[in-house]
Amino acid sequence: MNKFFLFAILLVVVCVGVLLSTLNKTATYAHFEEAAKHPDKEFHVVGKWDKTKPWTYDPAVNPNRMEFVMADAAGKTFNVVLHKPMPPDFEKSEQIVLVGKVEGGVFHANDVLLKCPSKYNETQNKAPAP
Amino acid sequence: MNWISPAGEHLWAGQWGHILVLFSFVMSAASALLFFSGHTRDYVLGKKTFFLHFLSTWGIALLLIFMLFNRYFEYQYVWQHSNREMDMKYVLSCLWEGQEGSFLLWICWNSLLGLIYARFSREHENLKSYSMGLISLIQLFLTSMIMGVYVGDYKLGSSPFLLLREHPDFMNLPFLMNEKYLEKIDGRGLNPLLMNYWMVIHPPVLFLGFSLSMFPFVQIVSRLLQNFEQGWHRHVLSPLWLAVAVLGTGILMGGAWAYESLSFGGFWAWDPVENSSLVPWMMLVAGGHMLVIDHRRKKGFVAGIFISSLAFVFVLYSTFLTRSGILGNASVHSFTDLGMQGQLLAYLFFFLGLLAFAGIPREKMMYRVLYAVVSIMAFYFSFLYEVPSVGLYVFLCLTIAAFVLSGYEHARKTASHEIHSVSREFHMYLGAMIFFVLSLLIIFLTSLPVINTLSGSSFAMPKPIDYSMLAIPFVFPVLFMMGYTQWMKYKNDATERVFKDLRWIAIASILVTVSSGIPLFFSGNAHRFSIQQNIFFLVLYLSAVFVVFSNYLAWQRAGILKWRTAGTYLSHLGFGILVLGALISVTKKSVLSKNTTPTDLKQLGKDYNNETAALLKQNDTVPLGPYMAVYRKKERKGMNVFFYVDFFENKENQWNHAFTLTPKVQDNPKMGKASDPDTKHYIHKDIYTYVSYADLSENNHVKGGSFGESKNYVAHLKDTIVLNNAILLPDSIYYEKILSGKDTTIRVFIAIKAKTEYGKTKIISPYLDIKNQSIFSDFHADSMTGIMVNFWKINPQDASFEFLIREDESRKKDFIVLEALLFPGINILWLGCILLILGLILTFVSRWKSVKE
Repeated sequence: MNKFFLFAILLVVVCVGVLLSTLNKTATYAHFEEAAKHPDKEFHVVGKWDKTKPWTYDPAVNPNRMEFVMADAAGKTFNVVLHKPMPPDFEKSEQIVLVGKVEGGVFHANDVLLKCPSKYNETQNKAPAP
Repeated sequence: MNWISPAGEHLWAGQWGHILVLFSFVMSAASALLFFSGHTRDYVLGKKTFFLHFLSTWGIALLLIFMLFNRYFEYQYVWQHSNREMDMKYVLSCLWEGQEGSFLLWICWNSLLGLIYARFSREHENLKSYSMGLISLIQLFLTSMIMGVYVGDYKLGSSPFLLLREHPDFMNLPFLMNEKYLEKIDGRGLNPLLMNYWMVIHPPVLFLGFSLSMFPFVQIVSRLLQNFEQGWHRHVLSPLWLAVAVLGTGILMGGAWAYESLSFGGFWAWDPVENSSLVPWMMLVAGGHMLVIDHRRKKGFVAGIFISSLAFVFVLYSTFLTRSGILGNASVHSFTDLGMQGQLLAYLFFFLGLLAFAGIPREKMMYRVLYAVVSIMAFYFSFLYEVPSVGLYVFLCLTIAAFVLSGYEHARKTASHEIHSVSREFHMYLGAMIFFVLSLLIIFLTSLPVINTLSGSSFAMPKPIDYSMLAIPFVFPVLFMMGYTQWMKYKNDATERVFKDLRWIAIASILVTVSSGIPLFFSGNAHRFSIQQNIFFLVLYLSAVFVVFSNYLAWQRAGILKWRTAGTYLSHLGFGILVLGALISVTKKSVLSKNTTPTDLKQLGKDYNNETAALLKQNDTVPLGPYMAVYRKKERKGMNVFFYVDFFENKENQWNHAFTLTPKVQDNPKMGKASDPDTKHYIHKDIYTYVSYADLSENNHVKGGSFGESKNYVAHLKDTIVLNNAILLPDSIYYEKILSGKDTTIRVFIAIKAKTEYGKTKIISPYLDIKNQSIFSDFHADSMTGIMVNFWKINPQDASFEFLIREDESRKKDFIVLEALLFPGINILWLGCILLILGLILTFVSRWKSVKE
């Protein structure tokens, strides 16, 4: 039993160490305000594309760069540079999650996730609330 | 009863559907009661009611297929998952695209497997009766998920037989009031991402795996409730290895699907949906090994029975994760929330509680009762006082306490004998335990959204690379153990003999690692990873090479053609090769599509040179890694737009056509766009491409000589203006005086270097005239570049100039943004997968034969 006990302790120690180091590296969800306070850390920011503000994606200039303005869940708008091609159906997205850091007052995203209403449930055909 | 409504709705289908679901639910309840009664007469009757349950569940599935096939769009499920123009070969995909349909698939497999089990299992009737009772209970919960009836205010399940006009989202919609709406209506259709053959084969295999994983649970729980007979391991181990084989195949098919036809850029993304099916598989593997040890050496009983049955509980947990909507932003491809969170949790907690309850030894009946009563009361009161999380915490603490108590009690009861440090069972046990702990860590990280919900924290999902780095310290010891335990014997073993056998294998593995692994991980694109990461990769490489050598030689020693023992060696060998392939293709994956258009580059931030995409203009040759690529044309076939990209290879200083890839974009007006990759397969590498941005319109060629809208550009000298047709570099400025009568005109020229994309350069010199303090300017056309420039303003304060430019639209070329990746050694991965699955099937067959004997 002694052998197993030693092994179990060792395993638990390794687990805790590995888990802590992974959680330490893991980004957290935040608003732009918090992301701006910690420019060295990566954040996930959930929000909506502010279509009233100008945006650019010109693949002829750089296919890996898109600039737009996003409003986070708290309503704060922020300039965003996405270092990826513009995702298909970006216009239709209902919600976007950006992954990146704030640098020089601009949120630099190296990844983006979209939630498109059309793919998962139907909202455009929904009856107006009585 | 009306068969068909005045509007032409096929009401009979929905009525039959509801009746069948209800009947199947009642039959599963009746079977559960009969099977648990314990009388032989009731057992025989229970088998009959279970058969009726089986018939009704398959009846539901056939009815739904019939409705999909005949396009009964008046039904919400049919409307949502199919449409008129869809190819009928995808009708099965429609069946299991939605939550209800995939539950139905699961129910159908369970009922079929239940029948097979009742017919073919050679266990004692009392045990079979309990096992069948547990299966009936599982079916009771599952059929409730597709019932869609209201119990008071609570909606139980979601029915696939709801008419569109009965669905809460569509009720009172004006078009449904129209008498003839059925003539106009068309379904919303299948998600274009799911319209491929993978969607036809992957879900049934995966759900068959989930179904099979219930057997260790029901067989062990029924034994915990009764008793463990002599030689019980055989009965449990044969379905267990089949579950490992089938679930493994399902998971790997998911990976192959992600790689082949989704633009995820790889075969494994550590997505919550993937992880939550991987974890039960890992538990089955760990538990199965423990049971083998217990079978041979009466050791590892407690871990064996609990880990193998926990696999099923984690299947239920994964169901909860992916179907309750709790993953929210964390996963792009989980199901929508159908408001069944409570029901899914009840399903999970019931069977977790049942396992903990049965786990408490029968002699401690008081504890069993206490556990059950306190758990139920905790939930009851926490709901009464509207603090459900308190009930949850009490239940979880009690359950953990029950597992600890029962583990301790069972371990005390089983004969304890010293275990030798150099014995097969000891090292197998360690390996299985590490594997199990890794599965717990993975499910913990996957559950971060759940933990966020419970504790208010805001962790995002770890990145794939973080998962991989977490797994490596656990996987490599397991791999080493998988290698050397094949050379050890049960009980105790002579240390010297083991070292002697393994010496040459170890030396060969180290030699291979030094000669091939070090160049692999410490050169080329090694700088993408840190030193520590590269060392991890090297150690993993060494351990995988060791597993491959060791298992192959052990297999040869045992006799290659002895298929009874071949399963073990083959599956471990396959696993080693799989890890090797995954390691090489993930770490050596390279992006071919670096942007080479001479336009920007300087704009990029220092951290953000993650250039993954390249711009390909039609008929232009662009270097992509070692290839030259030309985007030729696009072609629309139905909903798909295909892009033809030719690749050229340099052979003996000549560029020869190597292959053509046609990645496509599905353009579904109802669902949006989806990019579908195309891959060129070689033996040693894959070239994987997809279009990430393109103009899908039919014809964007404008007739020659038509100049577009003018745009204003501001530039200083030496700045760059990027146009579609050319790049302009304002170089210098000069002026001349023109005297005409008493007026003096100052003509200011600006010399602009214009470069076309073919590399031609030309100086163009537009000008403006300043006369009487007014500025006069006009467009100057240039035929080589196909632009018209109007130099119209000088800003003296910052020495900048403004231009209006119009471009010849006929010169503007069609283009695509392409991502191209090179995956080396991906075939090693697939080879490993195939060997692993073959090995597991062989293991199952030999186990099954041993039951029969």
